[in-house]
Amino acid sequence: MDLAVASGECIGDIYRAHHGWLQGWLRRQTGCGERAADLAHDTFLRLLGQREAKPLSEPRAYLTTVARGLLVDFWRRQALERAWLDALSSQPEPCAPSPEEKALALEALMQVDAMLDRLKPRVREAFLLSQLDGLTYREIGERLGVSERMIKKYMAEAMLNCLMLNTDDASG
Amino acid sequence: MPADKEKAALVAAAQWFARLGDEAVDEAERQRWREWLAAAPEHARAWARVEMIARPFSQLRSNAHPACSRQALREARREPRRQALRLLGIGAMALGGSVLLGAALPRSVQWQVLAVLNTGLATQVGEVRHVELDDASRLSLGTATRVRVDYSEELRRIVLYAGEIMLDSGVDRRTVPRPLVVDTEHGRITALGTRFSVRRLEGLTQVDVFEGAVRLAPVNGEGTVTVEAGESGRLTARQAAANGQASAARERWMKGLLIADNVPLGDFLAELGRYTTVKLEADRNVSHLQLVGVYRISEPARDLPLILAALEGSLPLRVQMTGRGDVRLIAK
Repeated sequence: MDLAVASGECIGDIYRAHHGWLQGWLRRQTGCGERAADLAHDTFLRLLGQREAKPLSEPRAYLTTVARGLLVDFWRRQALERAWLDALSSQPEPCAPSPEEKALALEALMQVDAMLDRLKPRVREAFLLSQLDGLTYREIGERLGVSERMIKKYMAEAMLNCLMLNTDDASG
Repeated sequence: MPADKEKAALVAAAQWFARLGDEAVDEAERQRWREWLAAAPEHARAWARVEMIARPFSQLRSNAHPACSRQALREARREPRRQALRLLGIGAMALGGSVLLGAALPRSVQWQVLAVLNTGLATQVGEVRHVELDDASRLSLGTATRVRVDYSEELRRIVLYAGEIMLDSGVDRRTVPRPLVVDTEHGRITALGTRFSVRRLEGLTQVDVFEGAVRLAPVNGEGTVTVEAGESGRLTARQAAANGQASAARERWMKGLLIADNVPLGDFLAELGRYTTVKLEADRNVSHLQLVGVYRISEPARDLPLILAALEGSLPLRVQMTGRGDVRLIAK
């Protein structure tokens, strides 16, 4: 309890001293005031999420490090969104997804993209063909020019990779 | 790292996942999986994780267009993270330093050859896109624009749903050349060998012609109007009419340039506002100021702060950021 209060106060001080500055910095990065406000907000949420309240010797350096991570995610999301909307609009029947559909799909895309980030391209493609397109191992094998046994190995490798990634996150 | 037992369970779970996903899996194998699952609590925990990871995939699969998701994941990967980092670097120096706006030159346009014949195309706010069509017609899409390219045996048709396009019509090499038309909800614009821009506005469609001529025909009215090079025209659902000179600004956006040819600041901001989600406003005592200038807007996130800085430099005004991050221009 004491710790939470202490941490809250500590963050309150940092917030008062640096929030305006951080938001300005983010605005220059994104060219968008609304996004800057959101990202600044998220940066402080991250800070609150820290279990221990440690005094920061270089608060601005620390804040920009956290904010930079969020910004990279933000650009990534934009790239995905754009690619996804492009793909949708090049469908034979162009369709406009509802905001809810779009938000859900983008959230899922971000998760999937992050999970598959470190996979070898072939393993990644095999995993996507199976999990997104629902192709059978035989069909995937034909497409990639390898045996079904190999596809099964790819699938286990991809899944284990995702599993270990999430474990690292949870413990680190 | 997880304890050895947990880790072994994860390795086993990943293998079960791969086996169960095989179309050739049989009931005996499934039974063995159920036994494994019940054999130890860490097995059940590991499997719960597998399901958690599979969840966003099944969500995307049920989201109507799995192929689009796959394409998005692949395309977005090509746009490397470096770009984000580059933007970070450039963004950091945006407002400081000197700005060479007068020297903004049109950059050569990259034309993307459209591989598919008939398709929808769209740009986001602030984006400009250039495509070359099957008949070598060149189509540029301005900010926040949606079109559909619809070429058939009889007609080369482009439907403009929103925003603004510039079309440089190619020569149809068919024995019987097909007419090239742009349709909006207000009517049809027929190209007569030409370069022209079409912009959807509230209640009307504006057409600026730079080469050749076009014919305007309202959707619900009689009579057509021919607009020649250097002229502009307007099309409402009921009426087509000539509308004075063609505007240079309507020609240059496709090169990523925004032109203010002695226009009130308020009008310029409205135009600039089409390229960004930042709200731009001018106080009443500065919005009437006349502005002359050429501004680059090929990358709005980078160029917007530069333009605002340039306005501050050339007009007696100050750029103010509101608490919500909107921009207000106020008297100095």
